[in-house]
Amino acid sequence: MNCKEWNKQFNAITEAWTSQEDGGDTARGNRIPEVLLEHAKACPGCKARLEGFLRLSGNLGWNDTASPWLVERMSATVLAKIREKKEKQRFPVWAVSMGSIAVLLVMVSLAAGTFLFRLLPAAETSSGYNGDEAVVVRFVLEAPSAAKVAVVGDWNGWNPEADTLSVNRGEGTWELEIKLVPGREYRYQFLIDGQQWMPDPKSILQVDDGFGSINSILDI
Amino acid sequence: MEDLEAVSRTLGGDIQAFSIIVQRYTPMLYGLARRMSDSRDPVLEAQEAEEAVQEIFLRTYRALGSFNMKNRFYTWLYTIALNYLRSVRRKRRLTSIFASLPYNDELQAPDEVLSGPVYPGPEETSVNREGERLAGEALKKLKARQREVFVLRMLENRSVDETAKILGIPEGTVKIRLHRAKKELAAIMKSWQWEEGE
Repeated sequence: MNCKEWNKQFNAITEAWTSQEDGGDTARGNRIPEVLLEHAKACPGCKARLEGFLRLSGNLGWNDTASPWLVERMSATVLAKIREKKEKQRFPVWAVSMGSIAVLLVMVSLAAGTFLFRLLPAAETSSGYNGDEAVVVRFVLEAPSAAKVAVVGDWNGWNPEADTLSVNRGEGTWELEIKLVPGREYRYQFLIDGQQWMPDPKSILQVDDGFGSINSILDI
Repeated sequence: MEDLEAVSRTLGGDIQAFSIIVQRYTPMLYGLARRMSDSRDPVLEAQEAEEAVQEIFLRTYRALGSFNMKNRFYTWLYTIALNYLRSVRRKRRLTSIFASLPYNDELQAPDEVLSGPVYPGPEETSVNREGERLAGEALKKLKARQREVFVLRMLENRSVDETAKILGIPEGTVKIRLHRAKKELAAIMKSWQWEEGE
């Protein structure tokens, strides 16, 4: 058999492969005719083509897989980065949150025409959800090209399905009102189309989440 | 230790438990990152794949709190991985749009696969490497959406159902994209020519 004849038969095999019903088990078990294998043994070019096909059809493993050293290195690096970020996060987050509490307490007090002490008892209810004490918070995002927008934060366990915004199609503005208990700091991001995370562009306070992304801070 | 136990322990503050997940899934994610890469340079592709896997694990760690324990962990992990790899691809496309002309020319240089492969020698390892290069280059020619389906379905051996869930598309779309990818690959394989010995 020469390469021309081999090519013809090889093309017939790949053609048949495309018309097979489904994926994972297609070419697996497909027998390559002995005559093709014999020629490939002696012809490096045809053998390379055959190897290429066998890899694409899932019959032959890839050489560029992760080595045990890479796995070890990955594990060590990822854990080191997590620990490092956690360490770095401690001081800046504390500094931002303490500053933000002070600023916001004043701002909220002035805006509401109330005295500072009115908010102090609320600050004690730092956890849990209590409908009686909750205040309404409105989230607004301009995202005209989005198909879905959710606000994901620590109050909803970072659940992307919990708080979905409604859209005003004409303006491309997404809005949602939810009730949150005042007296604590909340962190959140918007999730667009289930893929793109972004901090609230209107939030005054933002903080590095330690993993390459930015959380918005809501301090009420 | 099962995935869910490792996740629970990590969420409980045992960071070391996350290393079990990293060690278990590095080979799969590394293979996925390499197969999904657009890079033409194998050395660069390997470096980028390693960096991508690292970033995927960090994002996974950050998002662990939102993982629903009723779901399969690896399906969720794959979704995060593919979303990240897509974002890298988008950034790369933007970079190439704004890149200078010479660099752009280099990116769009004629592909060796179509003009005829160059074989370094008759040795077994060289042939082996060449086969892998041909297959890798062929994959890069697929549209990204087709490649995602093809890699998950054919190379990662995920079921139609799993592939659909990971990619967030209907099962019918998985089958259509897979069929188109295979047709495309068959055409590419037909273009591989080797005349010696004729």
